[in-house]
Amino acid sequence: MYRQFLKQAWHQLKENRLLTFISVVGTALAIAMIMAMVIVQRVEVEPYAPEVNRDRTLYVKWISAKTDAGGFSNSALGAKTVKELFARMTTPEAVSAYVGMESNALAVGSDNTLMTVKMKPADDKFFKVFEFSFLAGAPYTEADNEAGLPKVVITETTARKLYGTIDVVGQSIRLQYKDYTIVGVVSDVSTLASAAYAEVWMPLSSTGIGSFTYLDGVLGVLQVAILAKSPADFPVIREEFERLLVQYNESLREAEVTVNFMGEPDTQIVYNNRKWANQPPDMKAFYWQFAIVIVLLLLVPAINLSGLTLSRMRKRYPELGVRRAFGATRGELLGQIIMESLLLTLIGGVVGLLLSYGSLFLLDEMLFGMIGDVSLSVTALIDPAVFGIAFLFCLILNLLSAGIPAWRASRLNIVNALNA
Amino acid sequence: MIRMILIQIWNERKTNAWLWAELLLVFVALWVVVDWTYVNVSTWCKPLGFDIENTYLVEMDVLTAGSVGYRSDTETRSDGQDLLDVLDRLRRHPEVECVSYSLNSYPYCGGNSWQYFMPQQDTIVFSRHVRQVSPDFFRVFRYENIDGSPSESLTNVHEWGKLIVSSNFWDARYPDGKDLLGQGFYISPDTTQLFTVAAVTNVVRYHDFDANNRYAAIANLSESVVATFSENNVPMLHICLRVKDGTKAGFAERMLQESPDYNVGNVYIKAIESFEGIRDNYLLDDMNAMKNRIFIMAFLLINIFLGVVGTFWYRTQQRRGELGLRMALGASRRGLNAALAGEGLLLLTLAAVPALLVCFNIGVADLLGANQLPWGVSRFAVDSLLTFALLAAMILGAIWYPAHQAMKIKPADALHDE
Repeated sequence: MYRQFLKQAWHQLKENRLLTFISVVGTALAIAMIMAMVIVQRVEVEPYAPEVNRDRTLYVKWISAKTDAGGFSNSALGAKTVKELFARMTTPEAVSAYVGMESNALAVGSDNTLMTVKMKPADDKFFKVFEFSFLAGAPYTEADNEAGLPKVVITETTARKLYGTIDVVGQSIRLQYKDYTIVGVVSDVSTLASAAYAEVWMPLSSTGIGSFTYLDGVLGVLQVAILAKSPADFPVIREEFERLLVQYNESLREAEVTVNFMGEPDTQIVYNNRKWANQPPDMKAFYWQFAIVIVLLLLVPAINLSGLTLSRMRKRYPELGVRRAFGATRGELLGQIIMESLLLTLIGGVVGLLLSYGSLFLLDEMLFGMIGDVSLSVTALIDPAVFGIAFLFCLILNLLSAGIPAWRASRLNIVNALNA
Repeated sequence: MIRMILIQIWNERKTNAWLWAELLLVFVALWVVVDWTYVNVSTWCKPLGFDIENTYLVEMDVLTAGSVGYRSDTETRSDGQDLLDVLDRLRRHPEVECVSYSLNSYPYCGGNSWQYFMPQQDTIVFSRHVRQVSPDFFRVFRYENIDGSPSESLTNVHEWGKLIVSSNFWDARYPDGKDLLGQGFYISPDTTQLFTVAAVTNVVRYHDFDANNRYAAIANLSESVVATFSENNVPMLHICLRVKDGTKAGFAERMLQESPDYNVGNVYIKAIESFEGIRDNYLLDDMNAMKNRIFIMAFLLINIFLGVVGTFWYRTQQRRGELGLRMALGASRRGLNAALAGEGLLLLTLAAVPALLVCFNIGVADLLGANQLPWGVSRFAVDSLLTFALLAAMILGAIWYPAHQAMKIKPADALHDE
């Protein structure tokens, strides 16, 4: 019976090529748009190297310090705040402090060519929270970081540009006119992985910028990433953080300073949206906007396809009437019509999937606005979950567009249908 | 004629209802996107008030104890003095036209400083963006004097006790800014030092999507102040330079390789970036948002196109007999085409009326943002006309093909069908 449905449906679709074409293109476009939006959204929160632990990482970017004299300072974190607040946390697996914004550094290559690279001083835990793929060597150790030893981890591209090879572990590199020893070479990092991104990383106190603080170390240039054992630990971690914060503020009383974190630590998506130091992000507006756009992308083609299906149905009312007069049940007619739409949506869905991946490959740069030559591989984003989401949307679209006209057609009065 | 089309539309109300609902929904959505695009594009097209072509940002740093080549014998000279020497060397570079230093002032700089200004003649106080710049800053970015004279005219009058302000500095009182010249202002709360306006420039926008930044430039960073700078202050000063027109590409790379020759004492050049790169970086988020919305706009329009083609295809097919009959009775193809097009446009108008009510309320409710362009009748009118025109173009394009197909029929065949 389903084969019969399928055959009939296929025939119907061939009969009316323009409408079929329009339906397929309409569905395909809707699927492609939604897929593209989901993928762009996923890039924001999905883990990829080296930020592979995004789902169980919490971030702290800003601190707001209020002095009793009445002033506010909103800034990145200072070394004292890291040491006396974050380093004391025991529930997380690891807590890393690093300079929030990468900065330019001057590097001198083997043949004395100069090059500007992006540097990000970071502690040793940085390489626990973010899992870099080491092509050679290893990260610097806790002792290296404590002592501020001039050791450095560099990216593959930096190594190649400066030395022409990645076999450089143990070699010396001149950064900011200071000689560092290369201890590791890692794969390049996408600029989209903004927390981990840089081209060279070295112990915090080996540089002037890494140890820069003010307001007695409460404020500075650092950012913190907290790696939980699992996302389920987030509430416990926040609880511990709040408790330690009370103690920290207690200890700052003498300095007449009170700090607060405006809702931090943040999960990945909130962290992405936290742009300003002086106000928390409006996540509600963010979600609403996203939801409205998705609904719009879904609703407009759904109305479109419903209209088309209805047009097609009306043309076939006489046929349906005759079939009912000869004993076809409502269920049979309904099944037939739904099958037709399902077929259409399926074809549209497949075309849409191809279209979205095709366009992602083509428009990679346009969609993600990449800077530099480090680009994220889109293939990494093709996985069953995205397919699943897309097909779920297919299904909703299908039901919306076929269900209503089909239901109406099946309830048609036989005599009226024959008359039409 | 319109009455007849209305009757036609009513007779086809069942299929028209879908199209009408879709048009209504899309009209509102498209209107919002069009508004956003219109506001941003019209802002983008306004003059920036500065010119970043051939300009570069030079980042400096200071060697510290332990650095290779660190000199401890320079205690008699401050790092600030060394910095000024570096600037002098840069000025003598054959490709360089002029060099400036400033704080939080260069285009696409994330930071900014604000001060309260109090007119000498008045008791009100207003907050304005303050640019702390050296005189050559105006030449580097080619700020425009409103009297049309070249930017040197700004450089020449930039000194302590004087202000150079944008023409919208106090637009509430002086809308065109000409009469600001010679006015006195205090920087609140200090009323001992009076600053007089020595020159007025065209509006300088903060970035391409910002509409009306109001600024005053003050000359509080004289060379004698910079000469006292220590190793902590030197890296914070922003060095900007302009190269001569027609300089070969790749200046930043060439200059970086030559940079050791320009270093003085412990002050060294660590990076040179073109302002085009700085701008692209700064505007990345805005540009991505723009692209996203253009995609959504295209998507909505294509859907309308498909919907209209589909609906009218079926309809004209159904009405081939009727159309043939009318042609046999003397109606011209043109007239029939017009009738079908009229049907589409009238349907759009019927959807547009309630849609515009919704849109107007969205505008009045201040959901669109009024930073770049205040909400008003003209914005509403432009948005609405643009939206209507876009949708009308889609509808006419979509009706043309099915109508053309339907009218290819010979009147005799049509009558025969009947």
